[in-house]
Amino acid sequence: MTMNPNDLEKLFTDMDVPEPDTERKKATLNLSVAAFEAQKSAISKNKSKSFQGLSWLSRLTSQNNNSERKDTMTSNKKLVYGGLMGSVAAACVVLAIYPVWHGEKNPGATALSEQNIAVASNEALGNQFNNIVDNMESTSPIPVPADPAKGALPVPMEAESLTMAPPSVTASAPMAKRENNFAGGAANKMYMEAPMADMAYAPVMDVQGRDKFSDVEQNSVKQVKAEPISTFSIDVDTSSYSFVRQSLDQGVLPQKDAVRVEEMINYFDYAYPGPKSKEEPFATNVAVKDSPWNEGKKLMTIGIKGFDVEKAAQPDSNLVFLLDTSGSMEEPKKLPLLKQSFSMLLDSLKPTDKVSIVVYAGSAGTVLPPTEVSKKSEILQALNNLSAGGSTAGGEGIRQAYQLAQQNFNKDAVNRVILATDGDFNVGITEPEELKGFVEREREKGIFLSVLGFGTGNYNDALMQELAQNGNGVAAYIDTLNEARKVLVQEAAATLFPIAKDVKIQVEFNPATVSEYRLVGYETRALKTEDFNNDKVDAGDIGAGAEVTAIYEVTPVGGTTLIDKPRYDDKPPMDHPEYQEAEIAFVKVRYKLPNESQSKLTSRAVHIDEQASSDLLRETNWAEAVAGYGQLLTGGKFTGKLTYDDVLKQAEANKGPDPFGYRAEFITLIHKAKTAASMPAQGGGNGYEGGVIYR
Amino acid sequence: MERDEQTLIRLSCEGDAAAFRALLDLHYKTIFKMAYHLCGHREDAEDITQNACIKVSQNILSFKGEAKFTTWLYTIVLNTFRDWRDLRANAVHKAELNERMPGNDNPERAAQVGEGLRKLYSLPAEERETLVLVFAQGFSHKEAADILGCAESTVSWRVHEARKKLGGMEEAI
Repeated sequence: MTMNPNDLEKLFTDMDVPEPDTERKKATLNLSVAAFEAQKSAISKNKSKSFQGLSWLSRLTSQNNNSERKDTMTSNKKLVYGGLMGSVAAACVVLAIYPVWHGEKNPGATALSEQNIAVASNEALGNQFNNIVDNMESTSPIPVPADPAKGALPVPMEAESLTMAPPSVTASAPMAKRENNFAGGAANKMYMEAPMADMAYAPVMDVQGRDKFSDVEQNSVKQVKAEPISTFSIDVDTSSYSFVRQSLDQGVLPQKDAVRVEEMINYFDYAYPGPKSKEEPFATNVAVKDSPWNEGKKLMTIGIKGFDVEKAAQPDSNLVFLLDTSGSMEEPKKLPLLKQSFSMLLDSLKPTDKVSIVVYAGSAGTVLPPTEVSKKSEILQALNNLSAGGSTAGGEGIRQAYQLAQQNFNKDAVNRVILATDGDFNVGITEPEELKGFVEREREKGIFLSVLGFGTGNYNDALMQELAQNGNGVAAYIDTLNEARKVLVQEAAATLFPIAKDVKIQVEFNPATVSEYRLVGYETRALKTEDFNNDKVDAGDIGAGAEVTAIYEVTPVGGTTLIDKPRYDDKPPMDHPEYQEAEIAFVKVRYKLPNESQSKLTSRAVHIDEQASSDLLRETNWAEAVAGYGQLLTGGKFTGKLTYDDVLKQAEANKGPDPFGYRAEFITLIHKAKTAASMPAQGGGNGYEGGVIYR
Repeated sequence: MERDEQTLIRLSCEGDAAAFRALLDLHYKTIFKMAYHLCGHREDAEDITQNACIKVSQNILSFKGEAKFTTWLYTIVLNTFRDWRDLRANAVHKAELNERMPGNDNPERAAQVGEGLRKLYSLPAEERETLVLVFAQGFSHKEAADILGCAESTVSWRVHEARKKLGGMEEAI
């Protein structure tokens, strides 16, 4: 007997298709219109024959031709491949052009986009981004969802017809639903089952407990008279934020040591005014306002904005990917995500740039000799042939990677090894100190290192951080495809092309006006006062168009201080009485240009009534909301009566245009932290109160 | 309605962003529905819908009107789904696919329609795609054939085969 058509229709009707998510729809429509505009501008550019060489956009166009061709095919392998190129391009366009468009039914949007076509198209992305964002009113939140490991960038493969597995209808009711909500790897699921079992034996806790973080003592309050000078290195890493998000997505507060407030702050883009020319690699903005955390105190927020290198001016790249292929990388959120991430990265490089791939652990050796990005299919093929498996036998991975980088060394190019791992650092040098030394020596030769972290369970945050710091690179933690887009496509310039290196900040407080100060975050980046002027001392880099924010909480003289007033107080020296009244601090920034070894200095005084534009106020307010949140996550030792609700209010009021939805996502993280924090602590553990048990 | 859509399509092809947005808005729910029927999971359907919309954005300017717009549109949705499926096949264990089938979204519903769905999702991919187009989206065999890039008779054959298999299931209940 055959099923009759009516029953078949009913079968589909009974599936009860849910309503599509409205926020997601909004984001999709925005992304689509942005891609549409990009396509339009690419076509008009082609027609006018005004472009020269293989610009980024022209590459996109040719790829789109591929994807068009692909639409007519069914399951031909070669054509599937074409589709891949189209999709990769799609991901790229979306991110790059998204800023051009913002706000639903915003009448200015089209007009603005038109203008942008005229303006050197999308090549000066970062600049346009800021301008446009500044010009546009935010109409509605557009969260770009950060769904784990999805957003599907196809990877080329045999176009085999896959029969979908049947629905599992036996799933036991509430648990199954919860598991779905946490759509993650096996580890997450193990965690979700845990409440049913004996909590003390929750399996994921073991796994999570293997994620290593350095113990960090929070920066404390300093008395200006005793210690008037504060010195630290900038930090452009963002891995802490992603890790916190990952943890909260599982409904668990992150370990306190995983929270680095400065990295959470610096995760976001800030529309700070930037420098006007390349000669001046960055602009230093400062805002002073009342502290939302403690009455009578003030926050002094320093916002540095790097000069934005236009795409055309991007230096050449000589990149070596050093990929971990150990068995633990097999999870969907690790190697597959890594492959997708790298295929996206290729789109943000120039066709003449060179990439090579070396793998370690599992299989070891050179998988792809130095290859031009224009031969993208070869690169993708090599990437796609990678598979995780085998033991973590060392091999000479890291030396090979540096050798390849050395072979193609180009002193005018960015020579960089990009290490991607889930925490397995058996790269051939087993001793962490030796490894750091090795990376440091290579840095001296001009080969830098960036580290991308994937997955949880074995994540070695501390070593990752240190390696990237020693290698003049960024450490980023990639947990979703969206995060990969952010780090490798949207912020590729900032991630890959430093405009200044060894950037150090030194702030001298004026004892006549300030009695105490406290630097929020940057615990792992503290420098000695004398290190500031010592060019031999390494510090963080700032990339093209990147922003770095540092917040000091200061207590004006006369305010309630944490430290008792000294009994034997001497009068402040009055050498420069004109400074005494008006200034609270003097900010100095020291940096080196990428190819120089001697540092330069910029400085500015900060006045009590420092005037900030409303944009700068909004942006710094946002940074402060994130800082408040980060401090709450680490125990709220210095934040007085501040609650998650206060943070929420401040964040919501200062979200700004948020074209990529990152800030909207942060707001959901506040809710998540609030929920997670209100849950009873899961057992005692070793002094961790974050709801994570360690045995 | 129909005329409005035609106007939107024409304006979109001419580069009118507002019209294009309205056009996508008009079809968004149907695209999502088709994606959901194909993959059987809400969040995946959202992803597929997003990717499909972006592909549409990148190709609409070269849409010549030779094919019917909906045919053209749903061909893109189908191909996006296939890309997605291939990727997952590469990346995810079968066990995880299992969990992503409909029903895990809503266990009660799953109990009601469970057996039928289980059968539906164990059909060969091309048969299921065909059923989705014909019975869920309501395309004619000819239109489905255009989207699938096969002959109309192939569509009819697949429908016949699938119905036979599903029918066998009904007897078993």
